[in-house]
Amino acid sequence: MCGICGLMMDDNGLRHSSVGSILQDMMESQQIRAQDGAGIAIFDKSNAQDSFKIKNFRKEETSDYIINEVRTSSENVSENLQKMNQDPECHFFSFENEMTIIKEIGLAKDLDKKFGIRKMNGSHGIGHLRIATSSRVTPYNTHPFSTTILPDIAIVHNGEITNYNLLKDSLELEGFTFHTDSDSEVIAVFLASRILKHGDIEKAHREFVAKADGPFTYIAATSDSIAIVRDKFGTRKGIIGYNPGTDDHPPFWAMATDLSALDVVGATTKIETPHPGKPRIFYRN
Amino acid sequence: MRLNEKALIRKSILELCNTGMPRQKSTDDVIRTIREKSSSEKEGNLWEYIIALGAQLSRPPFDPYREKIKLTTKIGRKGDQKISLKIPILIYGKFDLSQSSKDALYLALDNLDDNRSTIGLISKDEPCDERKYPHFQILDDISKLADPDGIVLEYTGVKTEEKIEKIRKEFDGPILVEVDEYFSYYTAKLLELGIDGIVVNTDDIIKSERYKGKHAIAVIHDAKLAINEFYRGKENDGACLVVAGDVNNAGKMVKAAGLGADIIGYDTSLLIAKVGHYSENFFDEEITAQKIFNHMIATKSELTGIPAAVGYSDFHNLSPSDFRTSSIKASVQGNIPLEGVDKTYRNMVEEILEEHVNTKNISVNQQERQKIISLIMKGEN
Amino acid sequence: MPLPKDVMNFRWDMAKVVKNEGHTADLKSLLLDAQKAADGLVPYASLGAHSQNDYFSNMMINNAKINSTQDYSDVDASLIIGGRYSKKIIKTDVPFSVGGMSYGSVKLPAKISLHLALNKLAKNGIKILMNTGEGGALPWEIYGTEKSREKLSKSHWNTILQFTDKLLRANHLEGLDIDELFTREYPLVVQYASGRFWKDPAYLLNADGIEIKIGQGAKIGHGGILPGSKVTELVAENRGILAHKPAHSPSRHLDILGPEDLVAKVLELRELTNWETPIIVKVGASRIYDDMEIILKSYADCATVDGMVGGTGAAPYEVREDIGINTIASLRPIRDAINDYYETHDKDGFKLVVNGGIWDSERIAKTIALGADGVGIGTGFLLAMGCTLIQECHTDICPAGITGSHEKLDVEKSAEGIFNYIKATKIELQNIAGSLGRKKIEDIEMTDISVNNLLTSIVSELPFSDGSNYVSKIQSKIDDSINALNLQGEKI
Repeated sequence: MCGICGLMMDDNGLRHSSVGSILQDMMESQQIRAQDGAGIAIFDKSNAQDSFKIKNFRKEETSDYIINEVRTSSENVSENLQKMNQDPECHFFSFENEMTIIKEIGLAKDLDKKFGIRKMNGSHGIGHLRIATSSRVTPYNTHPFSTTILPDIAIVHNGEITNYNLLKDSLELEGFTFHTDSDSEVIAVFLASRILKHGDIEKAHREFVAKADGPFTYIAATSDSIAIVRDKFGTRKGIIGYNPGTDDHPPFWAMATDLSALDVVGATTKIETPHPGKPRIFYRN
Repeated sequence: MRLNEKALIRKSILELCNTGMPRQKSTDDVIRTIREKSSSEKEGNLWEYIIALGAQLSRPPFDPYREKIKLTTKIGRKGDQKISLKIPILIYGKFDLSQSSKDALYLALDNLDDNRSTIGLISKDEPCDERKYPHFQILDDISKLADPDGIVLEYTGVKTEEKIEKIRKEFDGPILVEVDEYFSYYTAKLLELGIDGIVVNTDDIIKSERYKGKHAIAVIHDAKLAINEFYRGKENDGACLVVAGDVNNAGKMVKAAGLGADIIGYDTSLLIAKVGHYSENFFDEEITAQKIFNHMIATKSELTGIPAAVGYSDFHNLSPSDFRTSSIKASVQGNIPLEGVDKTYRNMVEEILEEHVNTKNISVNQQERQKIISLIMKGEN
Repeated sequence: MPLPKDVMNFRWDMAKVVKNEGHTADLKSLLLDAQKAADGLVPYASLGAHSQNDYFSNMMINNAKINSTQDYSDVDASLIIGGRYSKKIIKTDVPFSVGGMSYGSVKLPAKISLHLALNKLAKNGIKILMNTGEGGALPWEIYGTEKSREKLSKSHWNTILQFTDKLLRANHLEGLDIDELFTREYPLVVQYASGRFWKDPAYLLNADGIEIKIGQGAKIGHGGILPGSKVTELVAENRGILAHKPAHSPSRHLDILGPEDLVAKVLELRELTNWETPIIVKVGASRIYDDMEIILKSYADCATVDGMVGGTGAAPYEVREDIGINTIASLRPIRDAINDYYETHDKDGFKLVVNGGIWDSERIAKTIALGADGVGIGTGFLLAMGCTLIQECHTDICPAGITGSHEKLDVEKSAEGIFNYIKATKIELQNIAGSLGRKKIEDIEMTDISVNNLLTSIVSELPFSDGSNYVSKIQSKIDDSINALNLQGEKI
């Protein structure tokens, strides 16, 4: 049960120097909620290449986890994934093109110190602070979650998908692979499987809300969209706000668990509580 | 405590209350001796050894007063021909009812539909014209097809497959097949031919040689597995599993749903609801209809209460991971995790086997390991 | 909910039908079906579930005797709760307490019997903890100490006395001495349940401990209910609700939806009580590893875990029977959760109290050996007051006069019985520990217990009496299978 946040720049430029720092401010303002892990996913079109990046955590003998990256062309993706899956100490965590996922155990401040989040640029991003409940505290169980089915999908999640076992079994039967035992991963896999089927991200979110059970709010990002989605009873919080822009940065939409996160970044106009069960989606201009 | 142990425990406590001094005998020792001697030590009704995990902190329960719990179930794989039930129950009548009992039943089913609690009927008889509820006609000869909403065929071998092909051409509604104990061999084929689900009567199947000595939960587990195997690599389009037989109260229905049942075929208890008359010594169709109606409404409330307490807003989200068992047999037959360890007995044996062969340097390949595990599982039955 | 008129009559007819038509349905389920057919309502039940395997009788305490000619009265049986974050502690002279049974589900004479018995025990050197249950507290429980009456205005005190008088008269107990009644020598834990059935802030402020009740073993995830027929005018006045209407406790606290909400609630209560009062969190045993993790991180001083056979005043029959795991089985994941937590934290006085199916010294000892610090007893005390286990507490027909008003409970006799029960149980506990060579009850450990079947060994991690355990037994099965299958199993 955690703090989540997301933002989408609202102008035609695709690369903004403030995305990382606004996201970091939103994370740090919610730190009191959860201190077991922090993570972000930021989308920057200038990162796009013909090849993809697969990132994983590898457990060393010292029990620390180090990050490995493999660059792969689209033809070699499955081969590289298979190689990675054969090593039991390797834990997949990101399949990227425009997207960069950075996540670690510990506090948001430390994440920024180690990886320079504030300096990251892009058009949109999401963030997460974790208090571990049903999964162990390891870096690969921190959010955001990605999937090996399609690149550039990231989700952060507050709450629990209670019928996650059913959904996971059904998706595995269809042929999709999971890499962690976290219920949050099922959101990413489900959305990816639906995009593959019909390509309509909004429809995919609606299908997920209809199928998923339990109390949850999640924020999901693809290369050109961000959506905040609450369960059909609205059991978990979620709020959206708009910052009309300043000299330092263009206008942007922000979303978070707590109003305080919107406050801290000045996204205090057009405040809106997403309707339970109705995905609220923002597209990149 | 078990029923017969209550008296012992009560006596023991009253002894402490009267004397204020330590007792001479340990009551747990006495209970143990009695259990060892009695034949009820053999686990009979495995349903009683299965429990659901309630929701509290790590997931919150739903409150059925404020949050609507969904019981709606659709039968049928093709979009426009689906039958919708408001409660996942089909009245599955294997015994013959008198005409007046049938009329009472039809009246009750209409009333349930009026009250947004639609359930369906599986019957050999022809469907009533003015009915409001869905009627599945048990058909052995396609010439006898009246105008039902769905059809149930009994599996009798390869001939059934021919029948299905014929019927599928003439009838658009859902087709269910009541299978025998060999369902694992042919369910996939039948689903490929376009049927919409299978019906397993656990009472009949556990009498067969194949399932001798096993319990209904083994049948349900295997039936679900057969359907799931059909869907490997495909998108699930909703073939359903109807479980009839030993599933006649809400508790068993919930557990059957956890094991994979989509719909319950409900029979004997209806007789009991009717039985309410025996003391009145005369038959009144309306009163019987009212009793059947009441019974179903009460069952509906029970079926919403338990999933909500387990943390689901939809009855069909119950899955094996929500249940635990205090019986090794049940864990083996239904693949249910044991309470306290949260692993199935099979998983425990697999882990211990892995460690044991590594420590003792015993060379056994994967296939041999599977054989060892199967032998041990068989021994627990 | 009284049984329908014709149900009692056609019990016999149903037996005839079952016999004649060869159906295998059992009588109990026939009765439930008939009840549903009669009124269309969910059938209710009370007390605890019928667990087929409660494991207690499969466990033996090695070489210990509940009865001994030696004097083990100096074995330390005390229990301290609190101190992890609270400034004050609760110290009791026995490691077991009276489980929560609310005034309303249980009638006044039963509550008074417990009150008198516990006072007498305290005077005789045995302080034992009482839990109010979720229905609020009685006036002498809240204002039973001099300190609690210090700041009372005269008019407030008069109101309290008037209500007390009404309560006693309605139950023919006017003979009780008011000064004696308004003495509470034993520590009291008040329940903070989802129904919030109290009006007086002193309920929380005068308590020795506050137990946030998230759930109980009998109806995990399901709300509580006191049937309308049992919400008498006096019960309603005590709880601050409407009389003759069912009193619902929601299935979850409206302000506790997840772990961070629990943290907020615990901290709120700490602020309210100036960080002095020990805070306990009570859950039923279901997803208990995860729930314990959350409680350990929530700034609580103690957790209470209630196994599936724990009793209730009223719950839907199927909810009571089919939800929750057995007490002994829950202790294994609890030990894991506590061990995992303390791998990265220093020991800090967190305590664990376990309820559900425990009613005598042997069961207390077994539960303590498996990791509990203390134990709660509920049904045991009802039996001590004369309960006959017909399990109809949700109606008015209690033959012992405990949960119904048709029969009259003999308060003096019950109080005497409870006094003896507790006194004897303490001696038995000390005998068990003493004959094992231990100086304290809490030193009874897992190596003092052995089991007689595989399943019990699996869920409890306890050994067989020959020293083997479930791992070695399964290893033997593996070796036997290797031989039976004629697998060479060559050693590499």
